Amino acid sequence: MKKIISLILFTFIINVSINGQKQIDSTFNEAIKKRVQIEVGHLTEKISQMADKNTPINIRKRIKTEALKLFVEEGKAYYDEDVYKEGVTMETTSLYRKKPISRLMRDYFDGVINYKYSTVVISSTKYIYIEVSDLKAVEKNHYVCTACWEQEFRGYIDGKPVYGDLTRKNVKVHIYMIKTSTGKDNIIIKLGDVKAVETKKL
Amino acid sequence: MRRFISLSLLFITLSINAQVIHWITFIDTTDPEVGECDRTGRSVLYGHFINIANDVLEKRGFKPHVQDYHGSHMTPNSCKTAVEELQCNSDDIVVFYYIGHGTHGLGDRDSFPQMALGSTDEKMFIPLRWVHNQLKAKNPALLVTIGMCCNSFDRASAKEGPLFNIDYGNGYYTETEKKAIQELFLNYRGDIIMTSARPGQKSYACSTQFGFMDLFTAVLVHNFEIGAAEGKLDWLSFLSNIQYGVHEIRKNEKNKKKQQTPYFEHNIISTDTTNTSYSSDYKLLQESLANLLNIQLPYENRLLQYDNILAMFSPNAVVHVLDGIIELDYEASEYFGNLATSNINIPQKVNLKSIKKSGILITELTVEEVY
Repeated sequence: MKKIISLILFTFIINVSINGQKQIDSTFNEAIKKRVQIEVGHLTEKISQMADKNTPINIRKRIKTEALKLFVEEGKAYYDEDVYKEGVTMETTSLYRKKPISRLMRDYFDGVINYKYSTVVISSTKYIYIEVSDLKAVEKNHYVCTACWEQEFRGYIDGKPVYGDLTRKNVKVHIYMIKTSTGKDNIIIKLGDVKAVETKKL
Repeated sequence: MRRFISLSLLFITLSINAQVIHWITFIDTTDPEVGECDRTGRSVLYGHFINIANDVLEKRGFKPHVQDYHGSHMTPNSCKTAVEELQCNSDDIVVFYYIGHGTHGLGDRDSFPQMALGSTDEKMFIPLRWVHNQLKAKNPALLVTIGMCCNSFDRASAKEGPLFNIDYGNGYYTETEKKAIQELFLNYRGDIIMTSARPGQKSYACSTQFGFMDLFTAVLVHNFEIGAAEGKLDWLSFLSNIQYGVHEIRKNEKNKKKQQTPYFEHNIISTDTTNTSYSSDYKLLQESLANLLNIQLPYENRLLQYDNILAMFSPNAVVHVLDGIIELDYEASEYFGNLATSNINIPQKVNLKSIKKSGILITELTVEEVY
């Protein structure tokens, strides 16, 4: 009996030591996941806007500036779980390439703005349907989750469709808890690397 | 003898402590292209702004000191001399106003133009920023530097730094107007610099209620008079209204290069400790947010609203978004920039919950979004 009690106590202490931070209850978890959907929705909308050649290029460049603010360190160098990274990255795929290519987000956005097609239409899953995983603790006051959506890309030259694909993408989302002077936990959500999971022809 | 010495000392003390509002105006009234409309501009500026302000402030113990450079007296040398040799105390107000030709130096990253001051030699052009910095170093209580000129890219290289008629009289104004004008000049400390056009843009003249003159000064004077008549004059609203007014009038130009949008920077704080009501902030912010969220407006208009909103916030201001049981934090520039560039994933409404300020700038804003 004493052994069982000691084991239970030991497990409890270890559990508290490892987690050592706010336990996320399901209501809180769901509330943050809904907010993550909105943030990822902002990203997918801005990618569509940057590709839209009907919008003046100076506005599209301005949208790029605002889009980068959605990401950790605005797309610049940062530490991801103690690993140094040159910046947040976007994986892109093509029907004509086997392996995906990873580019710095700011370079990817430049590419979107300057696509060689005469018209580009990019549309994505509506934000309320973006899938978001449960939060996972990585270090003190820092959680991560993954959000998934599908992106449809259509390229036209002089009105004729020349390319179309459907890509499933996911993004690592960082959630930071900031303790306020009143003891409340305020939340900052920032997007991380985006991966391309699968690409199909349209 | 003792009485004489005491009276003399008293007189000297009073003279030293007298507050002064210094006006330094440089207006190109002889240029073959712009001289005539600038003569109207000068007349309107003095008759509807400077003279009124001087008269109102004299009643609060401010002595006016006007340096009015125009005609052949308006040169780069006289500008440099006037700015460098101005003497002022820490309780004084200084206003510099230029109307004439201007340009933006090639490769110059500053938003403000260089003033030609009647010269065609670009080596003689004087940057507005240089004037502002020189005057700011003299530490007046309030400094306002305004350049009404073109800011288009030309052959001028980037630079860091380059008669006197006293003409004031009595204007008619109500008690409401007098109080509003006094508050504008006396309830603020710090500095403001403003240009009539952004880098790459020109400044235009047109027919106005005052005659054919530069659009910017006409809009400035118009907003000054309206604000005074309504009893509401504060620098942020005043400058934002000028910016908005000029932009609105020029925004329909098909050639985007012919549009004109004034730009300003400020470091001012309100010294009015009796005013603790934030209702005017709420109203202004709510109105600006409604325009920001209006997806029927073109991006350019919404981004202008973004500039106006951000001018109300301190550099590191935070927006707290209440979303049910969670509260999210955003930097103000990130939050409003995102709203200004979103069309689909955008709240229908943003309800303001609370404001925290430091001086006249908002440091924290709490909102609730309605999707």
